[in-house]
Amino acid sequence: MGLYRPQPWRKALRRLVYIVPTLIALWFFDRWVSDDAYVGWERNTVRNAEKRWSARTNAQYAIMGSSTSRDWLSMNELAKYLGVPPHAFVDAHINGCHQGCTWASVRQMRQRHRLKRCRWRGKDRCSPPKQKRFKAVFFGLNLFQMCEFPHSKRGLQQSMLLPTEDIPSLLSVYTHAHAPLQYMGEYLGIRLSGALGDPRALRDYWGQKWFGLIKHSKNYLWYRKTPLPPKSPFKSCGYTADEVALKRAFTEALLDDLGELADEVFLMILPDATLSLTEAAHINRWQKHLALHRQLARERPWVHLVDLATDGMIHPNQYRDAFHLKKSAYAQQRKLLYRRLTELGTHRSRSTRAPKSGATGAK
Amino acid sequence: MIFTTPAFVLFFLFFFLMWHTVAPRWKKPLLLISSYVFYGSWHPVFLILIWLSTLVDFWIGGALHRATGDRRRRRLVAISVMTNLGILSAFKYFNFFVDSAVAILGMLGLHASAPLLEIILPVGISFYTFQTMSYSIDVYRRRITPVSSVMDFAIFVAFFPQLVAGPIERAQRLLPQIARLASARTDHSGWGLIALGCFKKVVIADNLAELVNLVYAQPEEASAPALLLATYAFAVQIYCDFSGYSDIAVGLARLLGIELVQNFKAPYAAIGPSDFWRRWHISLSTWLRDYLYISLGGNRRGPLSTYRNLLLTMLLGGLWHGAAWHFVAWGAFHGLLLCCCRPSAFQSAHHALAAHRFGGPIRVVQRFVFFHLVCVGWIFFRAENLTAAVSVLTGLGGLLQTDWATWIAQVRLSSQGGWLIICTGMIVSVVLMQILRPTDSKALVARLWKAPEPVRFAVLVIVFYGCAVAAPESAPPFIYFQF
Repeated sequence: MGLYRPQPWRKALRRLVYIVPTLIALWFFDRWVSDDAYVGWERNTVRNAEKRWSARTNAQYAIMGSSTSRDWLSMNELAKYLGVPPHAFVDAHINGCHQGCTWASVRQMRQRHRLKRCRWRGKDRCSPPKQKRFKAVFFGLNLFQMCEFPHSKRGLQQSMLLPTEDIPSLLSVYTHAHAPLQYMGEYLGIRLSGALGDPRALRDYWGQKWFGLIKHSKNYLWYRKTPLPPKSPFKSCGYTADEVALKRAFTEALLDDLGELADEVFLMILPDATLSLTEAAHINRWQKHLALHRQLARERPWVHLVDLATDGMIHPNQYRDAFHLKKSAYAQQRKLLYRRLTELGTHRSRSTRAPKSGATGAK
Repeated sequence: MIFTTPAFVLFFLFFFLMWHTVAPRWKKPLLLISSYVFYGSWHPVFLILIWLSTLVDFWIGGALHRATGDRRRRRLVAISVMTNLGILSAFKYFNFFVDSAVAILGMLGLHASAPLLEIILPVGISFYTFQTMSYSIDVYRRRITPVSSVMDFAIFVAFFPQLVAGPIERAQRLLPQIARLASARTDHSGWGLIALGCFKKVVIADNLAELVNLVYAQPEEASAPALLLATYAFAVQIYCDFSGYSDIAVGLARLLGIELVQNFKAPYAAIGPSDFWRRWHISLSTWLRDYLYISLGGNRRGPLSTYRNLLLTMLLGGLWHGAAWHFVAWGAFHGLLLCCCRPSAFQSAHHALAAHRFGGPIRVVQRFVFFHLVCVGWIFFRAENLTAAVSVLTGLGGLLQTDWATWIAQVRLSSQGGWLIICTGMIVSVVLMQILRPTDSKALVARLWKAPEPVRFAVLVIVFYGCAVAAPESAPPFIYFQF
């Protein structure tokens, strides 16, 4: 009598008996960890933004991009300038949302807009929408955002916002990156588990739990005799072809998709503290930045370039950090925006006067 | 492409899928091409160097075997050594030697300026040049017969799991395994070693790196307790970083059916310097012993010459780690430790203590004391330069005047208190585990592999998941990649 030898497929099936429950348990645990407010640090920011724009289906104008596009821009004032009711505007910005994240938001909006038009029965179940989602979209861009600043936040934003059908497009954009495999792997990893990310959030959580109230300003005390020197007030981008390749690809994809989503796109070139620097390298970067975006706008008739850097805020004192304006500078920035919009021949309110800047503060 | 990054995970999964799909005769070409893709991902130009080193040593190996005259054989081996050391000197040491020469001339009152080369150090250059050089020397010493297949030799030089940071393999061990590659079987315990390596690197080393970098960035500004904590943290960081890399390398190789040499055996369980070098970076220390120390004469020409050889070997070992004086100082420190522990009186006292009836606890004390000596050496290794190392040592002198209650209050005030407790926990656990119950990675994984399959699977899943969650924002490269 020979020894009992299980068939290979039986052996494999027997393995499933423990593999499947283990993976299911892990999946539940992962969901629990991923949804935790501390581990899913950026998750709520994205969710709140999604809620804002998905609730406002009738809004015809949108402000997109990161906080630097939005914090100085008053939607009420702009609505008044354009002669439209304030509720025609939707705030679709997300903090720390660069071109890739904005592009993912646009893809999601585009998909929702298409689905709204889908019929469940009959011919042409998903015929292309007759009207575009927005009349105009305002999107602001900083110079430093043209360089790659890898952060798991970017992967998280894209994994939350981008529709699954657009993953191949995202991977094709990543081929322009410095290390494409790294970006692809990180994106797919975050797609698999939202808990991938920054353990610093966990550390802060335990720190608070054990020691109560914490003071970030006193962080240096345990390891330094003197306080840390202040950080550089400037953040820039070298602007070589290699450095801007990925963000350029994202910007182009974004502007193309915005063309399907909106009749007009206002690409705002935002100023930052480096405008005060007089070195040739900085001036050269700004020239390259403006020239590149002028070219991108020229190639797309629906894109209007709004240059807020030339004649913009140039004094570092007007910024609260490297690129966020101080509240006192908001009014000046808006004034410049209305001037540029007038130069572009944008429709104005019946009073034909720009609203008094600073009347309504941004959030 | 660093082992613990998503890029490598994608690369390896694709490669492994191909490995199990292709016909056995295509395995070697697949491995070679993948190794070149892996190495070329840092900079494709670096591939030229690895090809040069491969072709020169392959040709010299064959020529050495055919040559009969001693003079011709000596000449051939000299060409191999000079080519490999030439590549290494040009890319790693040229600027260091020029800088040092200019500095020495400056001290003598002669002001000279020399052009420096603006070149990037090719990753893993110190590892593969040593590996190929050892092949030629072994053929010269008639320890091995040269390999006849250029593909086998190219895989030996560029085998991607151990290409960039070792273990430095010997031809007599690795080449026969490469020759049998087509019929090699996957050893799944490799996954256990990969998981252990990832845990050491991502969870322990990368998180401790933040603490170390914070304090060592400006050691002259750092407080004494912070310097002490950071020095202990670096001792654990460098061990977990490098042994983690080695574990992953051995694990990956096992999945391809190749067994690599063990590079670490619980080094902080060492009771003396020679014991330490039998446990730390074993593939380098045995290389230095076999090809440098013994070539210099070893201990065959009396005590004075032995001390000289020991010092010289360790100085060059220090320089191998990096082209900077603080690495030389680290090597010199270990050389001095070896010399101090060499006399027979010391050795016999050591053995007597070990044979004492309280031998166990005494050994623990010896390990604890020697761990602190190793930590002193790590200060030279981690500091940016010699001046910074002196600042750390001076700063540590302030420990006696430290008001610990105030320092703990300062830790409580910062937002990093919880993190520091976690870091301290990791440091204490790793060091105590080695001092009290030294176990090496292979033995640990072998023990896990005795457990039932479901337990093994659950442990692997938990460890890999833990690594993914606890990975810091930006994964720092392995420390030994820069060498």
